Amino acid sequence: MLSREEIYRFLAGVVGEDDVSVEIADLYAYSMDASMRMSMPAAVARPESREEVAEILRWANENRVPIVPRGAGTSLSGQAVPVKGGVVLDMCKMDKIKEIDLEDRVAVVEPGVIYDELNRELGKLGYVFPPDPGSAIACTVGGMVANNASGIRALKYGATVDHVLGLEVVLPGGRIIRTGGRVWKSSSGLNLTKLFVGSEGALGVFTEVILKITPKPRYYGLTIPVFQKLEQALEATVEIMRRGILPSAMELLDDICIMIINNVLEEKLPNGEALLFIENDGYSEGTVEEESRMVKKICEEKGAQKVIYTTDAERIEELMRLRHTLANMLAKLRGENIPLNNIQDFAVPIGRIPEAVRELKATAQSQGRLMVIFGHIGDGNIHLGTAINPWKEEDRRAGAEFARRLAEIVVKKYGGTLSAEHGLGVTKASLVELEHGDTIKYMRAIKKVFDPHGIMNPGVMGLIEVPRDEFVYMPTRVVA
Amino acid sequence: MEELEKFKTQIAMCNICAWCRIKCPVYSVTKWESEGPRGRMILLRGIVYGLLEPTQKVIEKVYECTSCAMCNFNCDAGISPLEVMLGARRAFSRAGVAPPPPNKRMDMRIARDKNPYASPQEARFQWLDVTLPEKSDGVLFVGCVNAFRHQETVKKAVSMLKAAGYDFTLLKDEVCCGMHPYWDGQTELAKQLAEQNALLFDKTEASTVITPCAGCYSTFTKAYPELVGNFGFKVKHISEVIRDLAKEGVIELREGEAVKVTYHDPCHLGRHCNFYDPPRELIKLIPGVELVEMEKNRSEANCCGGGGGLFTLNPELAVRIAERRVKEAEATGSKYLITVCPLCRTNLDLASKRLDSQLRVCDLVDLVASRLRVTGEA
Ligand SMILES: Cc1cc2nc3c(=O)[nH]c(=O)nc-3n(C[C@H](O)[C@H](O)[C@H](O)COP(=O)(O)OP(=O)(O)OC[C@H]3O[C@@H](n4cnc5c(N)ncnc54)[C@H](O)[C@@H]3O)c2cc1C
Ligand code: SF4
Ligand code: SF4
Repeated sequence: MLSREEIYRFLAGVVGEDDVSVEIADLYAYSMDASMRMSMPAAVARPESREEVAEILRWANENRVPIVPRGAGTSLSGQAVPVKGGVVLDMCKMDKIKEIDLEDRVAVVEPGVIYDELNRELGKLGYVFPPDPGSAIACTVGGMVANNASGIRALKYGATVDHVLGLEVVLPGGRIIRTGGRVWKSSSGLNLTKLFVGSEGALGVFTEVILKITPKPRYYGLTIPVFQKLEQALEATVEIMRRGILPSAMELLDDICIMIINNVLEEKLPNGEALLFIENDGYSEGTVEEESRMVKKICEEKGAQKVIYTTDAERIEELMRLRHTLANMLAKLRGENIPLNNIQDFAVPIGRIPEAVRELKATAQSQGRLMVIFGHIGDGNIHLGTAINPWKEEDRRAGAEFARRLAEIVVKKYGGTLSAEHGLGVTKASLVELEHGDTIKYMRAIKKVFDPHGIMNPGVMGLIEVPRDEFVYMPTRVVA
Repeated sequence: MEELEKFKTQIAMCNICAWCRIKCPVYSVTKWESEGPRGRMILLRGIVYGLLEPTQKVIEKVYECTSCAMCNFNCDAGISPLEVMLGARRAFSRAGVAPPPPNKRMDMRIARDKNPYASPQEARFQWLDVTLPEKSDGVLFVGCVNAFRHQETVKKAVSMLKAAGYDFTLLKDEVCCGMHPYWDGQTELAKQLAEQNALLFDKTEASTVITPCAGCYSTFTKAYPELVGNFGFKVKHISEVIRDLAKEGVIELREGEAVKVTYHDPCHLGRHCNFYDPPRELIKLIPGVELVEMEKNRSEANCCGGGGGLFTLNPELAVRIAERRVKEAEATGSKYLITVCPLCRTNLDLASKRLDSQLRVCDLVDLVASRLRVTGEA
């Protein structure tokens, strides 16, 4: 094993002394992501080019040093936490928008570019990279690709995977490969681009991303139906989708979420057990109005007590911003507890949403557990929020059991998935076999092809080992 | 560390989401996680749960902050990263492990000389030859940076107010307002200075304290009520006073060179005190002067890098931050970058010179003084 001094000397030789650190203060700051899991790296380096990344990966492969690429560290499942130590590659210096080509309708970017910044530039030209995760303000394109992130507008425009046309990837050993390209479609060979999307830094380091870009819609209408019963909102969701309408967003907020949002809104939303934010967008005012009218009618049929409709761009932006940051605002409810992040990101087939939510809610109630329900409900993505005291063994055990129980309901009974958009990381890795069963061995085999020595983000997705439970990587004492 | 315990819930509530980091001036320049508010929350989480030792390096990270308050405006979790930072600095100071050496030296100088420049207190106003009443309704509190570094500006301010017949006096024995030790977490020293100034203000029987410094302004409005209890004075920034005098026609402004200027909101006036309009209104009263806003203005204004003790701890970093702001100002095509804070002025001026910029950094008082119809002499 290399000493810290040897690691420092090598990295400093590649990226320069100003872009490497082995200081405890730095390492500690890079030891966590938004999952609140923690593990210290041996060093942090900030490469500025694919060549620097390649040199580091060649060395790391030879010396079996774990490498954890990092964008903004906003992951919710611990996939940016260096659980096996090694070197964190902070991609912040590779943040250029290299090209926006309106003729090919592509953007070519470095992985460290922040999502909102890319969209600010695209927006000036009337275009957008649409997945729109809640963390849009902070997360990087590289992190989005590695997590296959998506969000509010994925319902209509798809997840990150639907927009990545090509990648430049540095593999362990230092070889640089390209997958895909600028073409919008290709049936040439195995689709390695799609394989790398969602790979959570476990196969290689992206150094360039080619994205398909989308014209920005010109008109928006936001329908907000308020329901006395949560189930009515869920049934309305299924019915809207069944009737062939495709809103650009369909978000569920339960009564607790409504209360939290109302705390900061001047013009309050009406109270109810649930409401939906249903956004319709389009290139003509007529289409938006027509679809919004149909949406309103369905909601009323399903029992909405009140339906608000607005086309006021500022109001829509205000409400969508609050929806984006809702997960953050929930901190006020949990205080010193931490979110149980295994249950945050389930998805079920759209038609089964009402039944599944009913059962998940009843399970929480039967245990007397306060659980918030919200999410990108239009595509079946349900965010559940509950918190546990991480310092109490019995709380952790109860949390783990509760998470496993819900995961079984979602996966086994409803044919759903553990993660719609946040990724498995290390916190959901303990449940991976529940969803993937034997298939996991093919994933592991693929991992070996690209990364025979297991240096790339070891620990994520259960590709190397399955952790005992999601609390393996809790904060521990650090000795300087 | 009892003082830090008070912030345990806020620290634990941090989602580690990075919203606050995006616009932090320090993070934006260095891009090191430990040098932004989220990284600081992570470090403090370690300390408050007894998992991380507050070593000198760790403590330094807590001082790599300009106190610009941008993070507060961007946290949706109901946390004030700024308040937590100050709480941590206080806790470390009380435990005797902070501030870091350069800041400690500066605070010791302030304790000894009542100013940060190692000058004797008599030198504060030696250069100012003016007779003012002992008692009056307004006290002009000049502040250390102006008194020791921008004396011409102070002379102009005094002349202007005198010529306008404004009822004010100036305290030749004013002492440092205490902003530097306050943000260093040296609360006791800040308190001593605050009490000394409050006593001096009392003697003048004034109702209002007027200052040409954004730092003194926010210290009086935000810190003094905590430091001296019932600090009953009304606080005005000099730009408000001159604006009112100009509006009333007591100060007459003349047409001059048609010129574009841009205005830099000091963080301690803007985000800290919600004070945005008076300087803008005054600029707009000057015939021939066109105010062009920078892309980031008012509550979105980027920091000059000088506050929170960063200029003392790491002057190089402070100037790098200021360079960003100067570039934003250049993009407006303005000839002057107007400030109403002598610390911002000093830092922005250094940056502008280092960038070889054509942009001239100038206090609003100087701009107004150059457009007076009649000038009085102090
Ligand atoms: C409040 C909040 C709301 C959120 N909302 C959403 C949401 O609505 N939808 C959603 O999908 N996610 C959401 N997230 C999770 C997360 O923000 C996203 O998944 C985001 O895309 C992660 O990006 P990042 O830049 O922070 O990546 P990081 O967290 O730094 O990294 C993510 C993964 O990508 C890998 N990686 C990073 N860069 C590279 C690279 N160049 N090459 C290879 N691998 C790389 C890392 O190793 C890691 O495995 C949210 C998070 C928070 C805190
Ligand atoms: S106060 Fe300003 S400099 Fe300090 S952490 Fe917050 S944003 Fe950064
Ligand atoms: S914005 Fe608030 S919750 Fe998010 S990292 Fe900063 S302090 Fe923590």
